[in-house]
Amino acid sequence: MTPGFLLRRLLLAIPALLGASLIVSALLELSPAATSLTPQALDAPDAAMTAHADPLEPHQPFATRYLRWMHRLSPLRAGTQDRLDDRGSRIQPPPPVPHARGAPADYAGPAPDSYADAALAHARDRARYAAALAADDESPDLRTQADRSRRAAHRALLSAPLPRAGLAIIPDSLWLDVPDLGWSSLRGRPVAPLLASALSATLLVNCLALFIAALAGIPTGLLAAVRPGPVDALLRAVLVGLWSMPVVWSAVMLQTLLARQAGVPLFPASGLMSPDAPDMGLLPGRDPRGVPEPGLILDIAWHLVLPVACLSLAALAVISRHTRAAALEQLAADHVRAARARGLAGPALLTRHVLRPALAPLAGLVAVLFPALVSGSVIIENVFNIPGMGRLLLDAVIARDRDLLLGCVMTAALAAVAASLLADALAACADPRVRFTGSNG
Amino acid sequence: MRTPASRLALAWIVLITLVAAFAPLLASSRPLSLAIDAAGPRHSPLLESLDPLDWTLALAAPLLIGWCLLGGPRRVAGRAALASLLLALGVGAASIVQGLTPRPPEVFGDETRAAHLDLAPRWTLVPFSPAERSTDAPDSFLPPGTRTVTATLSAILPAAPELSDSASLSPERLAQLTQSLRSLPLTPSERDALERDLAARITPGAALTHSDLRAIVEHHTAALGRVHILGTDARGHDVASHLIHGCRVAVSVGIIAAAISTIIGVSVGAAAGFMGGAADALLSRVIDAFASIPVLFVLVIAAGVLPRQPHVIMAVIGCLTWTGCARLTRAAVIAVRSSEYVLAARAAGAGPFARVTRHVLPNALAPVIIDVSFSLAAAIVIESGLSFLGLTDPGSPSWGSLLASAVKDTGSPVWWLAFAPGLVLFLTCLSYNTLGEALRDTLDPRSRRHA
Amino acid sequence: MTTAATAPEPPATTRPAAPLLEIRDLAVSFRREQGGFEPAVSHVSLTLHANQTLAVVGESGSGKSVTALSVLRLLPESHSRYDKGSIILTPGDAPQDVLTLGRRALARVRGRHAAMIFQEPMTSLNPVYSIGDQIIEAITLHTDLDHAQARRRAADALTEVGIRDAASRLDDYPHQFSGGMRQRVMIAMALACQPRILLADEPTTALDVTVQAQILALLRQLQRSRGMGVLLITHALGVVAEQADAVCVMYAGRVVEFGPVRDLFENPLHPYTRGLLRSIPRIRERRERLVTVRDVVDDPSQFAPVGPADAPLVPWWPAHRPPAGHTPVPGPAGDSALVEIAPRRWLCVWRTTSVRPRMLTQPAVPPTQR
Repeated sequence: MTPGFLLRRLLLAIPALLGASLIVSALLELSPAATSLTPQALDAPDAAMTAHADPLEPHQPFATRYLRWMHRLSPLRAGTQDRLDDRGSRIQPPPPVPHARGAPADYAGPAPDSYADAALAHARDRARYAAALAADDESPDLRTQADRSRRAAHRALLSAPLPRAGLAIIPDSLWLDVPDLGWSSLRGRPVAPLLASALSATLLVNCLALFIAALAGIPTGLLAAVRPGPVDALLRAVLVGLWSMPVVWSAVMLQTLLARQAGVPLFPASGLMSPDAPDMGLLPGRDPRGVPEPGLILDIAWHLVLPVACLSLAALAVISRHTRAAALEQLAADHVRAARARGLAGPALLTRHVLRPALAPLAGLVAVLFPALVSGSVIIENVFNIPGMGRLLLDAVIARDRDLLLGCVMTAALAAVAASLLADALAACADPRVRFTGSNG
Repeated sequence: MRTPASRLALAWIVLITLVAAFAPLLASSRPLSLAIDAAGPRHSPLLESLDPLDWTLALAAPLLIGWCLLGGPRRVAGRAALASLLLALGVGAASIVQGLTPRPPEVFGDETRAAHLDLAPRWTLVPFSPAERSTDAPDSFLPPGTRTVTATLSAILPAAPELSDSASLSPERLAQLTQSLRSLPLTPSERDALERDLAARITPGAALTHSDLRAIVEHHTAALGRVHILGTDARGHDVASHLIHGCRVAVSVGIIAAAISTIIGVSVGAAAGFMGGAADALLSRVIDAFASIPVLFVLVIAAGVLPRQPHVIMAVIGCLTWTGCARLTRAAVIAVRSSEYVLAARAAGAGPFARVTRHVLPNALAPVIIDVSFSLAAAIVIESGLSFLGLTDPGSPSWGSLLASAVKDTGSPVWWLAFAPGLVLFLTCLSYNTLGEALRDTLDPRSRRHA
Repeated sequence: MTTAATAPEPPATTRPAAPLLEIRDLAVSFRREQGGFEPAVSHVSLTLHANQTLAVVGESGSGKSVTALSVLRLLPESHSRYDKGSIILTPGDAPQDVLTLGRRALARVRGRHAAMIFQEPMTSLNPVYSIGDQIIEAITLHTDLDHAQARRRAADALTEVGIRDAASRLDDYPHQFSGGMRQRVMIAMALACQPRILLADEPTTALDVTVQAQILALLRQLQRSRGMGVLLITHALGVVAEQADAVCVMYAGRVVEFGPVRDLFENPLHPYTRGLLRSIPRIRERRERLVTVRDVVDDPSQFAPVGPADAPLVPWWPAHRPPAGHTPVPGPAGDSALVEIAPRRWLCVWRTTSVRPRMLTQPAVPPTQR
């Protein structure tokens, strides 16, 4: 895990990310929403809107739109720098005007085709505001000197040019900026903060699921390996069952049986936390009226029991199977026999000489399991109504929100890349041979 | 292939495939034989509704089974596998054709149905079509075992709200009730018997409770109507019928998506492994790019923006899940490529294409064959997930959409609505995975690697 | 050196010749795939004294490794069964039967009283721990030393097997050592707790010839300096001639001949031993083709009766039927017997009525100064 190795891995991830974005952009291009008149498409309430999910660039060719999106995403930008408004946020193009179903197909909405236009519009607004201020100054209400000086300060602020975004390398030709994921037409907000909050919910659920799956899967796999015969056969049957259990089914069954009035409502049916959770303390206590409350941590944990259980079932089976295979391989290895010949036995032999060398191949599982879990959480989040990436994605798909969709896919692909890096790091921790040669072959 | 578990798994898969082949005959509200006029010609609405592919499948399935069983005990397994493959491909074709061509509307309108259909004998296992909505309770689900007539009664009987436990009926209410009962599909003699019974009990001044009344009516109509074995979903669709017709989508999605992904995967993997060098590096990067995409994310997008047709879903699943197969093939081909017999073929003058197809691939396919079984299960799970999310054709019945109706449409979700479709989905995945395990034990590429 | 301070036994030469290891009539069988058990070794008896190298010779599959692994009960428990016999270890004063020991007592014996080194030095070390970790683990398991003392002792052990710069190499991982060095590490690890018995299971087979010679020389030197008993499993007769004091020849899971190395090489009694010795090509001889073991044992004339004329005994051979007049006595003891046919010479013969009980002695060659 030398820095060079890390850099090489990151560079290799770039074509993968490009490919992912290209595939999704092409898919959106293939979207028949504008032309398809299938009854199903008409059934969708927003079918007509979808024709112009991207009202800023309505009739540009695909390549142009894709390149523009890439340009915004790239930290290195060419061209005029973006401007920042008074609050320091980037001047975004105005959100599309929502229009009724059945709007004419060629309606392009308000279409300022560049950020410069948006900035000009903004400047006009400022000019109007400044004129109003000036008119106010003449009014007899502003008697005190303090009032006047405040007004003057405002006016000075307004007349200053809009500050530029980013860091210029060659002024107004080449500049550095944070990647801009664009604007969600669905939520009317920039994509990046939406993704950040959704990603944190998804990561919370998935990391917990992976952790619990490993916690349960490794011991069962080890048990199956050291107890051949009926125990192994039983565990194997149970694990194939768990592995074949569709997440959809386990989620729906658990929810209907354990979270709804029709069953035994032990757990909350939806959400990541109770509505009043943000006001709670972290730990159990009493609220200002003296009513006992569970505290934020317990509340979230209580909400996460069912989703995490569903997600971790299949992962548990996979981890357990791999642990069993790796442990069997180690048990047959010469070095275990040599360790037994030195007098090692029992738990020390199992943990140090069987489990520990078996961890290296298991580390690679993280790279495989994590994306699978994230995929599974699309279902889970929609069943349990958790505000994560899966829900965001589905909402974005239904609304054909192009920037939000691309942002979701890029984030998920980045998470996959991160998971494979994490797997390499774990493998290097577990196996000195990888650590010293700097690659895992 | 010899363990009891793998035999059960194979039996389940054959069963599911047969159910898919016979689905229009197993679950349909159309009677086998019916005369609208007593004097008129007899129709067979059930048989008339079958399209040519349905006919082909229904006729081919018994022939194929006969062929399997006549082959003697030793060949049954192999022939059964081949036959179910052929059937599944047929089912896939049928489901694609159905997706492309809209079904003709139901022959009989509502009045005709009320007059004739409910009484006509049905010879189908489940006497409901998947598209048919329960006329009894169109907007709420019915629990398993509900009779359609019982539901009708429930609709009629509360029409006597003043009927408390000790009240008697006013003559106007009685006339109203009798009028409602007249609409029940009874033969004239049965109707006479019911009215006689009612008249005997409903005398002025006599106490008649609501439950008495209901008992009398139910006694006379007990044999009528059709049973929702598994209940209905919230929109009044029969669950059992949905389940049976959903087999078509599941079986065909599994086979066709797995076939597409295997074909792409084997070609790309074999090309990368056999050519080596720059081509290998390039193709490996392509595989990496596809593998790093979170499959379900792109699938959700594709299913959401592309036309919602079964064949599109199959193609999309196939086109996005081939990377595992490609990696397996590439590794196996690289292992086989350098062996002596491939060198010998080269020395004998075989060209690269002949070397790959005749010498390399047959010896490198064992891991791929095992992988196919697992990817069948994966494709079925993915399809059910997509239809659960409402991203597939809402007109075509599928197990996932049944599961969705258990949590989404009803006010208070019920576990039994999700139980049957989920169990069938689970058993199908379990069967394919068990078969894969059995294949792995038989072919055992790992022991080969270590040898 | 801490080794002298903690050496548990007085030098073996001053003690009466109590054997370190006695295997008596051992029988082991393995579980078949289809069920049932398949005998792997039977009627194996041998004795190892202190200050002695006993070589066990035989082709692969003859049961020599099974015998060695049985001494520490290292055969996989789920697939093997100890049918009968006993394995008596006498490391101190109290003899103990390995086959009846409990798990804890067994763990104390392994590595403490008897240590073992294996054929494959490349895979016999745990790849994820440094060799220091592994040696220290073995030392702390069997002694009361704390970590720092154990580390010093581990460094001493490494130095003793000829690894330079031992203290720093303790932190290296197995993959950073060559094959010969790894076998040295294995020996250091095995000897770190000063066992009286060393079981060496083909320790040089996987090494190249020059390294083989170094490792064998190291083993000989360590055996002499510590007065250990070494059970050396090998199929190389050259190694036996150079290294061993006594030889035990095995075939088909039985001991076919046992005796002092010089006597056995000069006058092999069993046709199989003869075949083994004759199949070694000699540099001065010119032959049309090499003699193989098969040539010798397939020749019935080789199986002439031996022993006294009134009670002739025929060497046992599994591929032959017992000759006329030598039908084995049926019984639980099997069809063969290891008899002392001459002083300190044991030979496997058909168990006929001519086998007298006084001939059935425990095969043992007392240690001699070479």
